[in-house]
Amino acid sequence: MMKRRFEILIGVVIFLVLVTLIFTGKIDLHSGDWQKTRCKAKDRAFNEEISGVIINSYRDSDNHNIKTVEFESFRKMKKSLILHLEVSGIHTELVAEDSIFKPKGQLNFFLIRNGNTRELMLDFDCDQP
Amino acid sequence: MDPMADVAPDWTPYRYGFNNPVKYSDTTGMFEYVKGGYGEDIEVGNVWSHTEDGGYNSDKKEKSEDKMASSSSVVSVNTGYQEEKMGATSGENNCPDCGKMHRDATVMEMGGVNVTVAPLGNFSIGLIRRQNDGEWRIVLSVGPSAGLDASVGVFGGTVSGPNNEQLEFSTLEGLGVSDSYSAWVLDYQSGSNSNNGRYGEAYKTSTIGISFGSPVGYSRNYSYTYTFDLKRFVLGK
Repeated sequence: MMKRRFEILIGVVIFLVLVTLIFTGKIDLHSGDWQKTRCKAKDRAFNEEISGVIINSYRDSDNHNIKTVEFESFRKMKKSLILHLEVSGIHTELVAEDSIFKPKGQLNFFLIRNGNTRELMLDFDCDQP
Repeated sequence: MDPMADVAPDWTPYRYGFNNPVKYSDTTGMFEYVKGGYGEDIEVGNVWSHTEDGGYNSDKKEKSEDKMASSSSVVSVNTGYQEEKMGATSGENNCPDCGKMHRDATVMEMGGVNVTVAPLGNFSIGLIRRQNDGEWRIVLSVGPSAGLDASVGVFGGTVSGPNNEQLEFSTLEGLGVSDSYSAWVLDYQSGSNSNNGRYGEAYKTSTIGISFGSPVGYSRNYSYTYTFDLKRFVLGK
């Protein structure tokens, strides 16, 4: 009985120490995970092609506030989430009726507005090439 | 006529992005703001920051001028999460909490009570607090589980979002998935939203717990999370 109580006491102490370290920022449980996630997002964006006219660019409150771009491509409505983890802020630049083009195999993102073309580069803050 | 011309009298009204379009944007044509996403709380010299609703933090101008007088730093960031990205100085005046905010986008702390009876289901209720503004909510999760575990206990941990952005409470709401490992009286659980796996998560959670139940266990929990403001719920404000 004493041994069981001692074990529980040790467990409580370990729990309190760990939670304190986490809350005070001494232990970061997520930084490595986010780096992997960002690199994965970069790879997937690299391999995706986007071409169309933006219908709407917004944060989807029904889907965890993810940055979402709806666009029309060859008379079909499409939705892209590749800008969700993009860090340079391209998503905030997009407005309805902009034309966008991102070729497959590149991170170049072309934004055409009023006949003017801007070439932007998608940045996912991934350290890996 | 530029209605905002008098805000920056030293600059020509025919400029774009303070002649630095890499750093500043001006999508509405009204005034420059620092690129980087909505909902940030950034002050840059005399530049107004934009807000979640698309407006401008015009009241920041005075504060920025005060800070400019006391520091040679051009950029001051008061969320801390943007600090490394923006290359701001971390002097005491500009960033009093910088010491604890070098973590990579960890923006919320949470704790509460958890009940897991896998393969039946899981339930947890607790408090969640946003670090940079102290706002808190009640967080409630419930859903089915797979695996083998039976435990009742308390947990504490963190929620993080993508770097350089403030995480909103509503980001957590909806379907999520987590893996829970328990050994002895200690538990570890990590999770994220379940419906955006293809392009990267909107948030990640990690919690440490202490529980009573089976000595070892594993469960995969699919849960629906809801957050609500107790003050608004009780007082109706």
